[in-house]
Amino acid sequence: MANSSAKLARLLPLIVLSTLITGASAAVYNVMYMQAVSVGAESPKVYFIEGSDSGTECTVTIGTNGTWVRISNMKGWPNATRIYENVTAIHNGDSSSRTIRLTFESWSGDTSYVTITVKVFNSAGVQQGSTITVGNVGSSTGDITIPAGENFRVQWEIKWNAGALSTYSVSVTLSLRVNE
Amino acid sequence: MVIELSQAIPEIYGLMGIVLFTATSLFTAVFDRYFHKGLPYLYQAIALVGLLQLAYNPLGNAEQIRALTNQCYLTISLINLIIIPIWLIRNRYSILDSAKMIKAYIGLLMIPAITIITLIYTGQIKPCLLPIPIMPMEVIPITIAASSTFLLTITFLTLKPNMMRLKFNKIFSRFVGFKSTRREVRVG
Repeated sequence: MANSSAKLARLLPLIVLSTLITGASAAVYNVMYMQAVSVGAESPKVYFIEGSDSGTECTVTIGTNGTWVRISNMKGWPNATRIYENVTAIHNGDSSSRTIRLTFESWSGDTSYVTITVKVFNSAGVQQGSTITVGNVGSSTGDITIPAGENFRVQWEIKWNAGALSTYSVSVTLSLRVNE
Repeated sequence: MVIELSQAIPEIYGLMGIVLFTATSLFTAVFDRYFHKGLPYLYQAIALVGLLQLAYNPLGNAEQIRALTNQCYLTISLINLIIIPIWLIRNRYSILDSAKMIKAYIGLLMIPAITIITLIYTGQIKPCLLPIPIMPMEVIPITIAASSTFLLTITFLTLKPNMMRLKFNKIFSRFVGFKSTRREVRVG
């Protein structure tokens, strides 16, 4: 009995130490397994540029590197559809074609009084992908291919309800996904 | 058959080696009547050295050096794994209670370990993130220092108990007048 107690007393610290060493080693391995080296930055290949309506019909602010764009001062009449044909455009600056997808993300404000749709057209005036209905979760153009050096213009169509007041406004957020 | 060598980071081999050394340490501790008393502690020390190289070898070393170090470490652990049953059969066969122990060792430890390592090496098994929380790198030196101290203490407690008892008495008698005694029974 005394012998097995002594053995247990010798074995227990060894088990504790083994757990400590293997646990620490596995944790170190995990750090290395997740290690990401030489994560670099590069210039964007697909970016926003100003459309022909910018400055005259509305204000378009392009962010640094063209990776975001803010459109302001777009308006619409009640019970009539206002179309901004070329507010901004998506440009593919890469040497090969890219697949892109414009998707509705969120909106806020007096959303129950307005209907907004967004369409994407190529330089020949042919609509690319589906029409985005602002307010419908997940509404998107679907995957569309933009050839190298091409500009795809983004068209906004805004229609306020008959009872809309001039104080009403909405804010819309869309996202542009560019595949590698 | 095309054998695609694993693209896993080389540290997986180091980790496997550490696991094997700790496993053999526990094995030799359980069956200590066949082995030297200090052997389990030696294996623990080698496992600790493995952890040390696992933590600090990747810093500033090229991929080839890392691969070489980790594969050497694993090779040593595999050689050790294979030597144990051979040594037992050659030198301790007369006092072995049964051959079951060696069979269990070969079936439960040696063959699975060699199989897993071969499968990882040939790329048949892809290593993945282990279900263990990631330890901050700052904690590693503390863990190594704590493990080394703990290992040294238990090694001395096992191999040199009288020396440790004397040290213990010297330290504690100053504060509380406590003394560890060894009861001796004389016969005759």
